Amino acid sequence: MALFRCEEMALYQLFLQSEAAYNCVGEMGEIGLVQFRDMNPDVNAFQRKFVNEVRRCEEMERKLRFIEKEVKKEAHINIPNNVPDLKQVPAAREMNELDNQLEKLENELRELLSNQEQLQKNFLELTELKQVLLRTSIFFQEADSTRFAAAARDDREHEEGEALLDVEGGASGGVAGGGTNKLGVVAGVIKRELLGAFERVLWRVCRGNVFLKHADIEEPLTDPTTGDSLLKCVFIVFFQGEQLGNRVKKICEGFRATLYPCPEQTAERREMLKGVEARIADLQVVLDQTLSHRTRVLESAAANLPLWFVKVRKIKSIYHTLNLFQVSQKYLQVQCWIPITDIPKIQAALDKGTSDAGSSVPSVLSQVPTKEQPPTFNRTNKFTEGFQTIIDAYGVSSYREMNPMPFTVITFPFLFAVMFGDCGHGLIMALFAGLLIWKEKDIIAAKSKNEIFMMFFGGRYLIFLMGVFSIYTGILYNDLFSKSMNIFGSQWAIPQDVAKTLAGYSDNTDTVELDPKDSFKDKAPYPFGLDPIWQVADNKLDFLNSFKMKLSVILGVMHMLFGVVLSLLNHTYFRKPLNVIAEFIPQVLFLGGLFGYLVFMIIYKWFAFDYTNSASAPQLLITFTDMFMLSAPDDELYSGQYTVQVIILLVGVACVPWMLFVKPTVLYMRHRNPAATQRKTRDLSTGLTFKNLNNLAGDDGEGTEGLISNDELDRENGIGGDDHVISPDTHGAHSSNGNAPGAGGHGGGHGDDDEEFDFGQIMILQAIHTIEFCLGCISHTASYLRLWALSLAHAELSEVLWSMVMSIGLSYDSVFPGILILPPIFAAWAVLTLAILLLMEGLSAFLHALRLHWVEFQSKFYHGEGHLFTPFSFKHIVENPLED
Amino acid sequence: MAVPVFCSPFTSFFCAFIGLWGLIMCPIMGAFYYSHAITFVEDVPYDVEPSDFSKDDLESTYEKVAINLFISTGVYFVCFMLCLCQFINRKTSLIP
Repeated sequence: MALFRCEEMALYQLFLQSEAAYNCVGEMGEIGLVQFRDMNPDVNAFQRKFVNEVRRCEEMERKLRFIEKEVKKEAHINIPNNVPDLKQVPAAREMNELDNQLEKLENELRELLSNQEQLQKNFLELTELKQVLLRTSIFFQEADSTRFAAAARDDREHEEGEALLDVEGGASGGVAGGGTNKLGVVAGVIKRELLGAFERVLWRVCRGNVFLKHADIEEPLTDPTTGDSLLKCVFIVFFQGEQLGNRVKKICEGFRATLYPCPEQTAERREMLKGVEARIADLQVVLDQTLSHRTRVLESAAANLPLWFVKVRKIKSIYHTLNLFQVSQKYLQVQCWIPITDIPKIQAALDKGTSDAGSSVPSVLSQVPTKEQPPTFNRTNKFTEGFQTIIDAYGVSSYREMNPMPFTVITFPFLFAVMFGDCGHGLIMALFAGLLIWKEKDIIAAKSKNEIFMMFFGGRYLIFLMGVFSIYTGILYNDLFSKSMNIFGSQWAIPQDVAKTLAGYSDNTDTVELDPKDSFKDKAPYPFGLDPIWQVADNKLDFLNSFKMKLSVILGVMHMLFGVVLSLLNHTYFRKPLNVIAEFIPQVLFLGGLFGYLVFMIIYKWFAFDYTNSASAPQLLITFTDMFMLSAPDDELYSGQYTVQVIILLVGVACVPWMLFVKPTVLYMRHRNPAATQRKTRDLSTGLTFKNLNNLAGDDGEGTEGLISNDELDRENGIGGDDHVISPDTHGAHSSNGNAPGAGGHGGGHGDDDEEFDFGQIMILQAIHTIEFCLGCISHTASYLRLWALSLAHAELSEVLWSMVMSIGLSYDSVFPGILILPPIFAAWAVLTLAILLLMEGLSAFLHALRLHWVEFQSKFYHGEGHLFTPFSFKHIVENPLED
Repeated sequence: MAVPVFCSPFTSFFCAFIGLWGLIMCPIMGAFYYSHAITFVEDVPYDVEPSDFSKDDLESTYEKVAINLFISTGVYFVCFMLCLCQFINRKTSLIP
């Protein structure tokens, strides 16, 4: 019965030998069925035993991230996306191996990186030098010609005709000596955007006594550290005098221009240029080789990267879990929640872990008696997971109460479809979900991070069912993109005499009223669904509204009655007959009597009246109100109606004090005389009584040992008077049986034996409960009318979209303008259908159907006060790496 | 195919989807128009006085609109093929 209720859980104590602990916890992670409790809640994270190992794992993760970043820089290397999970626990020594491997890899990469940077810096310098050499030759030639011209001019003044620049093997290029007329030269490279400012500063500082020439370098150069490409230009400064030279050099430093020694003689320059070019070629070769080596290293790392990530995460999570254990010298112990049916699996995993570690001492699982409410574990598969999620979103079911999920699988898509009811839209929805289901393996492997898409993908089975059910209700409402399908032939026909007079109709009567007496063929309705004639009828809504409203009320009352019946199943399971008598029966009488009678009247009226006597059919709303006012009906639906209504009303009214007073009174009397009422009940906290547990012990024959003997337990419990406590699993099954009535006798009653019996509290709670139920019946029944409202809205929107958009495209009877207008109009209609009718209306109907389930249905039986079972599972950890 | 790629994978998929929808729905609607389905009687551009009403004229109008729909099927076929080529050429995953 695990489908209707959550799994039975029990609290177990796990003893592991220190050597085997790592492997056993790893195996637990693989099977993912154990939820560990923190045995050291007050201990700081840094004081726990395995904090060093966790630190090491985090270091390894950091290295892995660094390697990943380096790999991602090289765009052409692919990191494989889907890594098959080997389902193996990484061995403890693997951590050391992996650590060493990662360290080596990281160091190698860092070295490669720094080498590469250095090489690139050298390369840049050489390139800039080459550019300087190339450009400055022009400057020197110009300077030469000006020197000749100046010399010719100044020959009269300067007899010696001393060269401004010593070209023919004179003093080496550089700063001219003080006092001579030789010009000093400084050549270098500066960023283009700084050039203007540089020039201005030079002019101001040197008072215009320097001469700057510059030329742009066309190709952009790459900066070694940042990798950006920069535009630079070559400049050369001519100055006279040492002082100016120093100033110029300081300004160059300030503007971060790199200076290069530039020989003034052409021959020297040519030599230098040749040398520089040769060195550039060599450096290029070295750079290429370095890059290719780096690529090779990264490629080999990239192949293993996902596997390493997974391993490191697993190891880290194992140590995190080990930190939860209580550590002593020889063994580690922890408390954990385990589903009872999985105990053999867990035991086998523990044995495997122990044998893997090479230890001889087996691990010990023993049960711990507890009064805590166990976590709720609902086993789901890929189909039921979507439905369970939407139920859990409102509240996780309490331990062992009825799980609404199996019923929701059908009722939710059905209520959605009642509100959505259109064949065409349902078909598109079903096809979309069908595509998601068909490609689900690929989509899971792609590990998309887009939240909205993953939300749709998670609900693919839900959406598929919603679509299929919508096709069904679409056929019932006879609505296909707001047009009706005439499959069987309409049962309405214009009678002959009316047809003859149609030709004589003038313009202002363009409606014909068809009397069903003459126009309704064969007195038999359309075989399935709504007659297609209604689509062209003006009074379609008059008919359809009444029909859909009544249908909504019928569905609503049925849904709510079903909820109340589920509460009966809960009361029976938890062995609370008082609730059955004091709550369930009056609830059924109230809801079924009053609103069930309304449903009866609706259905009766549908059958009892047809077009012949419809004029005399009483209005149900008035009838219902008259019933409450105890006034005799003017028109009777059936004979004896007044008497029946009075009886139902009296019974319904009597249910209110029944619901209000019976339960608190009985509880009060029980509190006064505890001995008189012995009962074995099941508390919500632990769903097992002695009887059940012993059955389990007998069946499994597990090799678990009891911690506390039966006698001790009895002594503990005898005074407290609880029969909620489970006795530990012992082989002496029969002895526990003997103790059961003894312990049970002390207890009796619901969970309020332990605390003080507060009658006022109970009375108030009961009053709230009663008022909530009775008023809720009325308001919830009315709330179900949203089924009508939304389906009306959907149909109207669909019709408006067709008549405002699509109709325009179809209103051309000639090919020429028609064919230009029809395709774009159709596309517009299709896009609007998708956006408004499918997405917006679909979301809206989803939300309202969900609300009907959460509030109207579940308030009749659901407590929803449980907490989820969160086992230690590698699958979960590997898939969600950021939650740590 | 050597068709230049000019839209994102999502746009091409979406347009291919609309093209497919038109490709399927337009001929069906055309067929229904051709068989004078009463369901479309309000969308047919036949607006005359009741006295001038002629059933044959109505039916021929029906058929003209049906022809329009069949031609637009061709248009959608072209659109669908174009977008499908775009999508296949992209060779990237549709999953966002």
